[in-house]
Amino acid sequence: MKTKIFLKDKSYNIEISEIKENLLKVRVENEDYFFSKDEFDRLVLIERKDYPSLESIRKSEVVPNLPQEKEIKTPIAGIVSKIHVKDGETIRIGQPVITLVAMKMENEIISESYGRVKEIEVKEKQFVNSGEKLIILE
Amino acid sequence: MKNSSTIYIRNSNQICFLFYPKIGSTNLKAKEIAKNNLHGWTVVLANSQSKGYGKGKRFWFSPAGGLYFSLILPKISVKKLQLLPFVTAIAVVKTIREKSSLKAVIKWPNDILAPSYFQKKPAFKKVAGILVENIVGEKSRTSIAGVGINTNIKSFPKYLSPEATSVVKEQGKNVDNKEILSLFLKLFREFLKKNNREILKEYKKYEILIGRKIRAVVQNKKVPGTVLDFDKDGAIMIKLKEDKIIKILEGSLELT
Repeated sequence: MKTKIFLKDKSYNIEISEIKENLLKVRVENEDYFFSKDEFDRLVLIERKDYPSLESIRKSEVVPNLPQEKEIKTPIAGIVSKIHVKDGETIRIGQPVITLVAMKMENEIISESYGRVKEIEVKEKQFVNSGEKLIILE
Repeated sequence: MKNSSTIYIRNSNQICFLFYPKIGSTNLKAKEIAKNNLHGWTVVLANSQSKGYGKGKRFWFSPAGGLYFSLILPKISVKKLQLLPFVTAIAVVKTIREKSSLKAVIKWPNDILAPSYFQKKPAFKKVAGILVENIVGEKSRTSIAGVGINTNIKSFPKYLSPEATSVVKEQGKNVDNKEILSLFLKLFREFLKKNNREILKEYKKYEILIGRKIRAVVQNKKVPGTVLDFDKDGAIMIKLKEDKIIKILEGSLELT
């Protein structure tokens, strides 16, 4: 996939190709960078001065249709034993966000989307029913 | 395959076995492996664990001689997932009973005890432990059923002796860990296919708390009562003094 992105009024030619499963090559102008798939997910998220901002990536073509807000719900009932994330924290796909315990089972609830924690809807030791909202991402 | 001592075997039931002579914890390793896209059941097996743990990350004594494994079940339904501690407990208790002379029992939700005769008064002591951990996303669900069975452990440290025992200590004869694992897997598969009602019916055959007076520890509060039954989801029902009935999903129970 070839594309152009604009960052701070400067345009870059970008070519993304899959070398093999889970390994991506990203050519920026004439330089090659390699990323494993999960690294790539994280790269998109990191917001640092020397990286493109999340906002600018959203506007570019590299990441298609990032949802604006996403809820992480629990499919099972239990008691919140640990909250692994903080307000404002950027989380990646597959990252554990909350641990629920029920009947001696520890249930690690993972995020299946990436985003920034906008609101944590539960507290530790709170009982939650299945289907209940745990975290809102933006 | 960085670890040269790991052996990968796929048996005729399409279960993949990963063997480690020594490991920190089979559950931890299983959680790491579960992040990859697994297609079938996988068993992480170890001769000994240096950081074996149970509920609340409590240390589980795991020297060579015992049987330590974690069964990874990818793509499991939520309905099945909630009954896993019960299915695992049934499979462990039936395996111990069939392969040894120990009359193992279950203490809700998943402690496996056996009567021990090495003190003035026979007492129930822990002979196996179960820790089910689930990794739950909106679309993906993976369960890890971790099991530690004190099979051929000849002695326990002093601080554990009052509460733990082993098959070899009680019957004076070793058991074959491989046979134990293989029977466990067979029974686990068999009971996982059954419905809630059948699973709970079997579970109650071996459960020792029903009808007993207990103190429930729920969110740091102690409540006295009598155990009545389990509901269809496996929550325990307790009758309190004033005939009020409460349901407990999480907490521990002390016999009084």
